[in-house]
Amino acid sequence: MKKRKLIIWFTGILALTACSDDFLDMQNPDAYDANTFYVDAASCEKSVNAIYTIMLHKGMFSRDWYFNFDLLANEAGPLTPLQGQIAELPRGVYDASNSALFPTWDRLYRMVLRANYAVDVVTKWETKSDAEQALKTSYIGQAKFFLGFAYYHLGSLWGSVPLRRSFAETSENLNCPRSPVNEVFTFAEENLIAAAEALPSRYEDAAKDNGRATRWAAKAFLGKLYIMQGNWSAAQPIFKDIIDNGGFIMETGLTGFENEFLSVNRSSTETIFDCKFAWYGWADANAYHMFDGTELWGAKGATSGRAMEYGCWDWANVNITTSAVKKFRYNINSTVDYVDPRANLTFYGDGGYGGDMDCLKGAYPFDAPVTYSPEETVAPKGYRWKKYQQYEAKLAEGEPSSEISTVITRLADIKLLYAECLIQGNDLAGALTQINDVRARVEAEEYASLGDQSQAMNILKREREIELCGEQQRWFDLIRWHRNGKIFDFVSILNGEKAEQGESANFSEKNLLLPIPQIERDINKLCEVPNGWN
Amino acid sequence: MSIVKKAGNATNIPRLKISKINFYRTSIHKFMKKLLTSYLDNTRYLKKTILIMKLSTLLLFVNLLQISAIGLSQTERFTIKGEGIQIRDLLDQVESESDYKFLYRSEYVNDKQVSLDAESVTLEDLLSLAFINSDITYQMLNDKLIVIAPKAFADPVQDYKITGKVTDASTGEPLPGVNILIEGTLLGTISDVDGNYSIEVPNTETVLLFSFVGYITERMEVGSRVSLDVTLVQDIQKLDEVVVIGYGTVKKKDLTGAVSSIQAKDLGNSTVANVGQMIQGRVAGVEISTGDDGGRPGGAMNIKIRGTTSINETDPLTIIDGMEGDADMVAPSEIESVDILKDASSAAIYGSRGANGVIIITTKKGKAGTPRFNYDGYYGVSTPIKKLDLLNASDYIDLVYDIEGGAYNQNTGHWDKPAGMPTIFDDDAYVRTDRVNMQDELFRNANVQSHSIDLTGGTESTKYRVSAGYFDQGSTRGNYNYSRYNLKVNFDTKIGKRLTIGNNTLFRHIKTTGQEGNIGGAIRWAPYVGVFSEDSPNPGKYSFITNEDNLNDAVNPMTNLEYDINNDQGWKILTQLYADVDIIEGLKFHSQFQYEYESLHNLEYREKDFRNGVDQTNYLEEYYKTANYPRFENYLTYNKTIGSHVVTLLGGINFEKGLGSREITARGTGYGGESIPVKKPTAGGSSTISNSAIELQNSLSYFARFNYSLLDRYLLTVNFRADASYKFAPANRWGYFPSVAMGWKLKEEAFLRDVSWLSALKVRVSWGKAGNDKIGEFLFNSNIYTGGYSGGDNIIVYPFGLSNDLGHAGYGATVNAIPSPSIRWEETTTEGLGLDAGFLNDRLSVSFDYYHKMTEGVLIEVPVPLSTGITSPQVKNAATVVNKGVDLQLNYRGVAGNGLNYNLSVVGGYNKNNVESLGDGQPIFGVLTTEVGYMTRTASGFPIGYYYGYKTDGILYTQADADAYNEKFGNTIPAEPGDMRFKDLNGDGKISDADRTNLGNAMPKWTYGLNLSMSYRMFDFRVTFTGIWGNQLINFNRAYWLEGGVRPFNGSASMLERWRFEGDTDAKLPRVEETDPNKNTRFSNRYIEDGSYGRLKNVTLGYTLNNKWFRQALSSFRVYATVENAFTITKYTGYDPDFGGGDNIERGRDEFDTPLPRNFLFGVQVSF
Repeated sequence: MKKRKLIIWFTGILALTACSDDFLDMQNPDAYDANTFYVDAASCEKSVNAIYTIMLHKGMFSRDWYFNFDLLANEAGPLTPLQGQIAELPRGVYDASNSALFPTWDRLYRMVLRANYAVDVVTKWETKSDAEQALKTSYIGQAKFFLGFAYYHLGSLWGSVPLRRSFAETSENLNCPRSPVNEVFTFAEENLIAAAEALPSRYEDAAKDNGRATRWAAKAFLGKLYIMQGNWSAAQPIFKDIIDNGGFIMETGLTGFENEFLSVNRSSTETIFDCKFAWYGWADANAYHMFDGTELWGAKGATSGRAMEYGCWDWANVNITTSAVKKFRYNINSTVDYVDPRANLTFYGDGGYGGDMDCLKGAYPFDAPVTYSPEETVAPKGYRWKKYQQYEAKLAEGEPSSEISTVITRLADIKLLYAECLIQGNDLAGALTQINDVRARVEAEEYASLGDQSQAMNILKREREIELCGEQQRWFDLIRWHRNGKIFDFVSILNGEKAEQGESANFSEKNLLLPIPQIERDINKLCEVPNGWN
Repeated sequence: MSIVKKAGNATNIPRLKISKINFYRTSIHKFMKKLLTSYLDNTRYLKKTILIMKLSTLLLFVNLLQISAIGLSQTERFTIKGEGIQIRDLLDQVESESDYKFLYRSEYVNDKQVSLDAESVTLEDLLSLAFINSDITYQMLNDKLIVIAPKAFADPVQDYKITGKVTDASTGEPLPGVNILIEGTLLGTISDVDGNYSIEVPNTETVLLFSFVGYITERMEVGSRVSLDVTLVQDIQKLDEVVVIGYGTVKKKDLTGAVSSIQAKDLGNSTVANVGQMIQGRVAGVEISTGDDGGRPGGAMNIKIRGTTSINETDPLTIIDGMEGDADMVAPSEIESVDILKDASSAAIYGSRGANGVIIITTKKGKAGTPRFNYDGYYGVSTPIKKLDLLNASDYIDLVYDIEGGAYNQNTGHWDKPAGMPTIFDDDAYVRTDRVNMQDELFRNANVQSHSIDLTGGTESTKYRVSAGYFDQGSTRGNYNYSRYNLKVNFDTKIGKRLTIGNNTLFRHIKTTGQEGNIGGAIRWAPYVGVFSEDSPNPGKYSFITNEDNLNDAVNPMTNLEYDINNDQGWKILTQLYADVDIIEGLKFHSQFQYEYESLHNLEYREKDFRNGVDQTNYLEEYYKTANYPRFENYLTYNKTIGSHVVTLLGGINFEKGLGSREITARGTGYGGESIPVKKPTAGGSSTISNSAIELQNSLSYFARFNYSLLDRYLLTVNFRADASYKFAPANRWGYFPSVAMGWKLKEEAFLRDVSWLSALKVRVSWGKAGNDKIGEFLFNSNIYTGGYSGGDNIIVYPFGLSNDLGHAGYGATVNAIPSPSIRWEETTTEGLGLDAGFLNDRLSVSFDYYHKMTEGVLIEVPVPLSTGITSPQVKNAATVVNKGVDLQLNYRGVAGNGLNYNLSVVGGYNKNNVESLGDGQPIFGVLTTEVGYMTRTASGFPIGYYYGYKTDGILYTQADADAYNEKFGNTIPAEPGDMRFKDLNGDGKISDADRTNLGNAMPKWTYGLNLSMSYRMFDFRVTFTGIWGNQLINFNRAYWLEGGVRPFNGSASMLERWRFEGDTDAKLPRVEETDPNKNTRFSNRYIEDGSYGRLKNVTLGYTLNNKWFRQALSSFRVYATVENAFTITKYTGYDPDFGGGDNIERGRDEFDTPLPRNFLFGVQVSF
């Protein structure tokens, strides 16, 4: 009896120490639980803000975007300090393993992920007031704008790409086949249309919200999406709408043009969409975040490396090519060798093409273009970038902490695209007005006539090359003109310009699309690239 | 005849007359001795194994109480009648009718017959009748145990008196209770509590036999001596050797799994610094290498039991006295035994933690008796073993000129000075003069010392042991010093009949100061610049060199040694309260509460100074961590013998519900003034929290075991454990780990019973599963991402608004990972086959194991496509790793007579590792180095972390060679004469990434060890030789620094053999070229070296002082001298081939790891 009692007692004690495993349900001390986080306006806004931050990443506007598309389009040329595989871009000898191109692919897809995720979590938000509902509509609109923005670029640059339509779809199918480019563009179109409907024309509280995507930003990319596909007639009314109703103003005079590329451009009246930068100081930020440290190096990096990397008194990684410079001197009406006034605001070095010859440091070393040699990295000669530089106000950048916003699209861009639509629709008079509007702002001589349709396109092409020089528009222009009826031959233009510069280049039809990154092909089992390129 | 006669009844215990004690004792111990040796000779002698246990108890009983005698029952009566009754049958019948047991040797009773007519007689009368005309007699050992032996054993003849002392050969401790017998008689005595004995012997031809349970019997001729001291050597295969398994012990002979056991006694003195060194070379199938920290004092050892099962952490679980803990919690001298559970069938009882094997450390415990005090200490010198052969100043200058573009001058054998060199090179004589080899400054002799004391004692019911240890070792590189203090208290007391309570407490304090010094800086240093220079603005006039002036920016390693302060301290306490309750016969309850507390502190400090041409701000960084882990464990054990069935059942629960740890690092820089007046953080300057972290740790486990033994021949062990880990989603939280193992003692079978040369034979088969959850936390959940700075501020910001101030910025919160809700335990399934055999009375024992270990569902980070936008790789149970191999252990105990004993053991293990499948097939690369790119890779079909690079194909000696090479492979960047030729392994006509291939791996094919211990009279001698074979190492130092030839740094003397001029066919290394356009430095087989080595790890010679004077003052006194790492046989050209730390996917890279020192030690062991 006693034995039995003892056995029962101790077995009981043992059993008592058995317990439910509920105490293993612990809270992560390092991060919030995503399942319970997005419950109000403040948290939902954060899901949207995180999409904007992608623009500050390497591969995007803090670094790479300017290099990649200025170098590809022969507006910027490589100097000795430019190292690594970026240097393959201007020669047209890059391939799928090029390490300069995949960050852009990567970050556009991160933008897609964050946008899809924002759509997902904000849609689930149960609003409690009209004000909240308005915010919800705006948040979803902003997220959809970025879906359109990202797929416009992915489709334009790489064509048929994996199409990730929602967060759930991404989570469930990490491997994803490429969708035909028209499906990619259709998805971009749907999102840009939805964004244009949902987004406000402008934000009431500019001090807080300036920089967010508006209805007009969505429309601008919707128009760009159409002309990328050669559909000028669909784009035409959209561009007109922006010009007529967007309320954007080109600040007049050369100062107006100059300011569009200085740090005052944060509050520009001309900008339709941009990437804003800010330098918070070393206590909070890291000026070198553009080397893939954004969101990683324990600091709030939000600056652009462009001024430092392009600057002739700083790293001088690139110059402005002589081909780009030469476009600033042309014949107009009866004037021969007219020098465009924008030359003086775009580059240093004259050589008869109108570049600026002095800065805060003093007189520019030479007035004639020369060949660059490796020793000349410190005291630059020849043509160098002035646009987006601050040498009129400071001796040197010193560190890559430029706060000048990167203008992604602005009224002049849209007016010239509108002009292009009009030319394609054979409304040459209408186009003339738009082009002269853009020229009038910088007090350039206005065209009396555009000539015939073909001549008009030549004028339009040059006007975009001058007005938008160094704004990473030319690559997109060249590929769409080539693709849509070979208005201009991309291959002969690029190889020809390079030859004229005394350099070799090897562009061909295949370069109309960038190669699908090898690293994507290696991991994404469903991403097939039969020809090894795209 | 026996003196035990007709006692009144069983409870009547007569006291014997003093004069008779000796005789009684003698005869009793003669029987003991016979019993023991007979058991070894012929197990049939013992009718019931259980008797052996009683016998041991009895020995103890006799030793402690000296003597007592017991009579036979007068009430039990037997009736046996018949002609020609076999004595054996007679004894069997008595056994079957009563509780009496007989012990006898078959040969004494075989073929002996007797005719009896006994009716209702007492046992005593029965036996007297039976043996009356026989040459055998009987004797009681206790009230139920009767021994039968020849009468001749009892004849006393004594003439000379011999005295002496019996001690343990390895520890030098006196052995009380040793049986000393005159060969061929029943005469003998036992040694007293101090090991002393005296015995009268008939003549000088007398042979004395010294025997003791668990020791090898020693046979000594008396000769003309009057004093005879004897040392006894432990019997490795001793009868009752128990092996510690999880939550209990098992006799080695009944073991079914693969467990290796090391007794501290077998190790002799313990000059080892840690447990890893203790095991190294002694256990088959365990690879032990110097860890991540290289040979840094106090550095952790890297232990892999039967291969690398996972790409995640694969450290074995360490259990100290039933508590989960670190091996350094206990001073090596406090270790009683180390048991290594190698297969899943043994480790499965530890379930989730057992996949990588378990190391169970049992510490020494209190012993009843008068307090005993021991001191064990040694002192010695550590000396650096090797320095690298570097270029002298003149050759270095040639290298600089070569790199800077100077031309080789075949007339002078030197390089011409190129244009544009800094002015220092104008004075050719100056720069070509050697002023220092920084290695000589950095490497130095250091002291090593260890002291430990312990006090043990108690009564039968209460025992205690307290001990303290101190270990201190300086690094042979720089001024780094490591010291460790260990305290240990064991206490247990029996309360009443059923309850025992106790406490084990381990405390450890580690303190390190100083730094190891930068080997890289020392090697790269310009040898024409001395350590000091008069005009140096550095503190202490330490010289410095710069790119501008010297084309070399190596940092003088001596400056930082003197002027930077870096102190670490760690405190840890591991304490346990336990209770054992004997509920009923065989049923025990064990309950323990364990508490672990750890605190860490680090201080880094530097004053403001002007160093190496730069104004250095002052800074101070303090790191604090506290951690505590409570654990609670209860289990029931039930033991039952029913006839020939022996059953043990175990069931228990373990849970950990703790707070985990918190840590924080505060860093302050730029404090005002010239220095920080007080070395503590203060306001001012720029203060930041540079790190903070919280770690959690909870778990719940249930475990059970069933042991079954039938007829002492067939053994079965079944384990089961269920573990819950918080690292997995609730649905996958539980892991179930079963195992089963069977053993068959073939030797017990009739067909082998009489094979005299074979003393033991057992086969074992096992199957079992164990788990691993060593991955990150909360991966199953979807976590908000606010920037990759774990635990830090939200750093996802975007500068919205019209102004650029942070106040207007918008903060972001998103995801960067896809949760991995389906992740579950890694499971390692081991199948094993083992064979244990003993020959020649177990003098030679052999153990052989084959295993096949398959780890399925290895948690790996599967890369996700860029197009997902996800940056964190997804964690999946997506790889399978197989390890298979054999373990072999041989042991030979030799007794050469004349007091020379020796023991030789050889262990060897072979292992082959292979990744059978890996995620979606995407290989995992190791770290990307800026110097040579990727070096290791993990891919399906190869071992974990194999080396992956190019193969070289000689040097392009001439322009013609280079042209042909360029032509053949269409090199866009043409190779030039002096460049390396690489192989186009995939044959695609170009040299590209796709030509990289398997270049070997860090995992040895074979690990081996050889241990020899000898004792001769007062001397003992031990040798441990260990090694590995069949692995490769990456001599990364050569890859960039020593032979890279891309920077004007000093390099290896082998650089003299670089390519110098067109057609230089003597060249063994490529040309030097700063820009290295041909990428000669790319990762290739150039840097892979054979990592095999054999090392004389330890040689010890000891002497036990045993003269009269010492014996009066001390009970034992031994001195010894040891050389550690005496020599190494290897082809490896780096400092030391023994390093093996790092992540499993990144092992084998020698990057200025601290080489192991050679230690010369002198030690003393005293007890009194």
